[in-house]
Formats: sequence, C-alpha cells, structure tokens
Amino acid sequence: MREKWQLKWRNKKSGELKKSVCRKSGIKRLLFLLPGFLGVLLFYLLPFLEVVRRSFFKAGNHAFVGMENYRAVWNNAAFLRAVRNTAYYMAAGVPLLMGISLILALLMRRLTARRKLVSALLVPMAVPAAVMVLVLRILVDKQGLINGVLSFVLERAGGGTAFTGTDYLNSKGALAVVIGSFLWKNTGYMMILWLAGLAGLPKEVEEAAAVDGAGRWQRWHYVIRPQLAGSFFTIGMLSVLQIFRSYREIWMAAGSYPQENIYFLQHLLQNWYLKLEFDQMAALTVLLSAVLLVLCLILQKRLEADAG
Amino acid sequence: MEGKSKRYAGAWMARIICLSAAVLVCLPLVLIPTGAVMDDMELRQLLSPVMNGGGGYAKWHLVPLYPTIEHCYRVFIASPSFYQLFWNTVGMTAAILAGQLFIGLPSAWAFAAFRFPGRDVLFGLYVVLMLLPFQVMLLPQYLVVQKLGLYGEPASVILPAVFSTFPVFLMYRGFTQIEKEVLEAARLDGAGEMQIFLFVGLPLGRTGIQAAMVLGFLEYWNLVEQPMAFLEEQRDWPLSLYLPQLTIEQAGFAFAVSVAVLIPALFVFALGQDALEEGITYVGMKK
Repeated sequence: MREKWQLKWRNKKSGELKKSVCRKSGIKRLLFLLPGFLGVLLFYLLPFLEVVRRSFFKAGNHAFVGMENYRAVWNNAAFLRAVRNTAYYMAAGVPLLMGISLILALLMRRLTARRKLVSALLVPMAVPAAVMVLVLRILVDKQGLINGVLSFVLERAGGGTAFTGTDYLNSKGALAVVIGSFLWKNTGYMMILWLAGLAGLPKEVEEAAAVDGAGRWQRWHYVIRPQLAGSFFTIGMLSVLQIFRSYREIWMAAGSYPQENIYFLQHLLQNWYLKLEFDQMAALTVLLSAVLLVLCLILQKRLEADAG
Repeated sequence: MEGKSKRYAGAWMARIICLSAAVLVCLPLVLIPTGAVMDDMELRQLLSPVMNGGGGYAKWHLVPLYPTIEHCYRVFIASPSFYQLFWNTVGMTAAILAGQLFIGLPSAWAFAAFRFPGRDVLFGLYVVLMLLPFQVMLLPQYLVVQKLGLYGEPASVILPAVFSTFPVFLMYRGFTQIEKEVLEAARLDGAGEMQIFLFVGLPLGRTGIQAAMVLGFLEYWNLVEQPMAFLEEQRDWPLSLYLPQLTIEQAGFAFAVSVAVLIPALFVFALGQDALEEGITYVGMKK
C-alpha cells in the first residue's frame, strides 16, 4: 500500500506524466460544463443573437432596414410613457424599499429572538403571485377592504364627514398599489441582505464608539453607515433589477392594458408579442437588455472589487 | 441604571415595530384560509360591494359565521380538472428541478473547482442571464421554441428553465465555501474528478444545492409568464395561470384553490428557510 502511495506521489512530481494526466482530466473537466453550456447556448445566447440580428430587419419581408425599428420604438408614444412610468416607479420604489428594509434590519439586529419575525417578513416570497393578486383585488377595490377601513377610521375621526374611496387600480393611485405590492414582496428579501451586511461588520469598533459615549445616532452615522457603503450599492442595484422583475403581479392585477400610469416596458413587450410585431419587439428587447447589461456589469465589477 | 432601562425600552420599541411590520405583511393572507371555509351566502354578502358596486364597503369575518367544506369539496373531489392542473404544476416543477440538478450541478462544479480559459467571462455571462427579467428573453425563447417545434408543448416551458443560470450560480456559491485544501487533499490521495465531485463536492456544498432547490421551487410553483406565452391549451396550464381566471363571484372556489397552491409552497418555505436565506445572501454578497 505504502509503495503504491509513493509511486503516485512520484508520478505527480514527474512533469511528463503530469501533463498527460492534465490533458485527460481537462477533457473530463470539460464534460462537467458542456451539457449545461450547450443548453445555455441553445436557449439563451444564440436566440438572443438572432434577436439582435432581427432588430435590423423588417418582420414581414425580411428586408434590411438599418435602425428603422429602433427609430420606430423611440418615436412610439407607448414606449415613452412606459419609460417615464418605469422611471417614476424606480424613483419611488427603490429608495422606499431600501429605506424600510434597512430600518427593519437595524431594529432586527437588536433583537435576540428574531427568527420568527424574519420568517414572517419572508413569507411573501413563498406566496404565489396568483394568490396574492386574489387578495389584492379585494383589498384595493373602490369598495374594498382598505377603503372600508379608511372610511371607518376617517368618518369617526372627522366627526361624520362623508368619505369617498379611491378606485386605486383605475386612478392615479395605481402606481401606489404597484409600489405597495413591490414593497410587500421584496422587503424581507432586502432585509436579509442588510442583515448579512451588518453581520459582516466588526463588533469591536461599534463597541468602542459606545464606550466613548457615542449615541445611537452617532454610531449609525459615523461607524455603521460608512462601513455599509458596499451593501448600499449592491442592494440598490438588486432593487433596481427587481423593479424590472416585478411584472407578474402587475399584469395579473391590472391586465394587459392597465391604467396608463402603470403601463411598463414589460406590457409593451408582452403586447407586441401577442400582436406578432416582432421587429419592434426585437429592437426594444435589445435596448432594454443593453441597459440592464450595463447595470449588471457595474454590479459585478463592484462585487469583484469588494472581494479583491 | 438609567442607561440600562433606556436600552431596555429601546429594545421593546424595536420589537414592537418589527412585530407590527410582520403582522402588516402577513395580515392580508388571513383572507385565504377563512375565505376557503366560508359559505357562498356569507361571501356574497361580505364582498357584494366589490362584486356588484352599490353602496358601502367590503367587510370580512375573521371567523366565518357558517363554516363549510363545500368549496374544498368542489375543488378536491367534484372537479377533476383541478387535479389535471395541479399535477401539471407538480410535473412541471419536478421536471425543471430534476433537470437543474442533473445539468446545473455539474456546471456549477466546473465553475467552482476548475480554472479554464474564458471561465471568468463565461461566468459573468451566466450572472447577467440570471438577473434579466423574463420579458427580455421572451422573444429569443419564442424563436427557439418555435424552431424546435415545441410551441404549445410543456417542454417549451420546462427546457429553458432547466438551463436557467440562477441555480448554477447558487450551487457554485455553495461549492466555493469548500476549503481549497480539502479538494487538493482528495486529489493527492488519487481521487478521480468524478469521485471528488460526488464524495467531496456534493456533501460539502449541499447548502448551495438546497438554496437552489428551495428558491427554484418557489419560482416554478409560481410560473405565469412562460406558460402564458408558450402554452395554448388550458389543460396544459399550471394552477398559477388558471387561478387568475377565476372571477370574484367564484371567490370561495378561488380561495380553496389558493389554499391548495399555498400549502406546498409554505411547506417548502418552512422546511428550507435557512437555505433560502443563505441563497439570498449568495446573490448580494462578495465572494
């Protein structure tokens, strides 16, 4: 047995043998990756390249039209509206999500038995969108439960002044519903990320500051906040990406042609798909993925720099 | 002494705020089990402002006046189409997760254990793909599905999901938690690549695998856009696409279906919460 081990050790050391072993294991190693990679190539990369190609051609007669499809998208009123709506959604949704989840994480951190509370905030991740939307419809209807509670409270407090509920999904309040459901779904998720970021900070610094008489606010401002810069960035980026991934609930709650304030780029893509307008859809797909690609690359660079 | 009581009060404040947030998040879900056992008369009476307009606002009873199993009976016993859709969901989810294990697990191992030319670029590409929303891939995947003649087949939903790069990333992160020395020791002892993968990688990297399975289950149990885009026949649909078709007049039935959809998801959530949290932090944390 011992000779066998020594032999193996010697083989490892002799360069010639090692090389051939390497080549053989190189092929074996390649086999680990190959099936998955071929699938990614077939179902993601190649068709995406085909879409990039098609974005320069007319759908019907396959004539080359240069930037024509992009121009058509750019001049489309629905596109401009969708971009503006997405910007509003992002401008309100991302800071709210980051702020609320950060505050909850800072509070949670102080609790010793927080497991059940964390679970409760994560439950929305397990609730299928269809189930959530069923409840949502009853909550936010013009005569739904939210308005019911509001009227009950306000009419009591206002000494009998009549209260008229808003039809949230069919009025300007639609964006508020969308943001509400976005927060409901994602707060727990982002809180976990904040908690992980906070857990990575060295305790000693904060304790030293406390010993030196720094108050809670001072410790947050001078000790914790600067150290969380990396988390701020990552969580911000993920929140932005999450905005783009929150279409399912919106579509199920408000349909393909919702109130105009919650008509997003995803609606546009989906509706062009159903109408088989593939040339403009291809151009929009390329545009949107270019923007998201830049976001993803910045995020990656940052994560690597942190690790570096 | 005073400082201590102040800190004590602060901790109580924190507890109360967190508790109210948790209650606020979970409260809407109370409607589902109560609605599922409420009889039609009561539901119609409570929800009539939502159903028919008229005056007043919808109300709710946390304890039904006349509890009934009528809806559950209709869902689970009287309507065979429910089972068709339920098993569609189960089958789709199981096929996707099995495929991801079979295909994605070796890929993840390749990224974690080996260095090869182009590895970093390729991995970066995988990460970008996992972060893109489905609508961006809608047209590309439609083209492939059409080309392969899979349009309308369950495979059109299953196959692209099998090659999703998100589980590869999660499992990769699980594998990177293994100490390099362990792998080197195994290699030195003459273990083959396959042996290292099976007997060192899999047991030590199981958190990543669990995270991928839990997050994957919750995602694919909840499929909407993909089946909507690629499956035409309702008999091929998963429950998650069927449920929104039910109108508010069928609220009791819809609640009972919701319970059936919700229970497996909550079950997996409860069992896999640690893996789930681990998976979330994998995405947002540095290597």
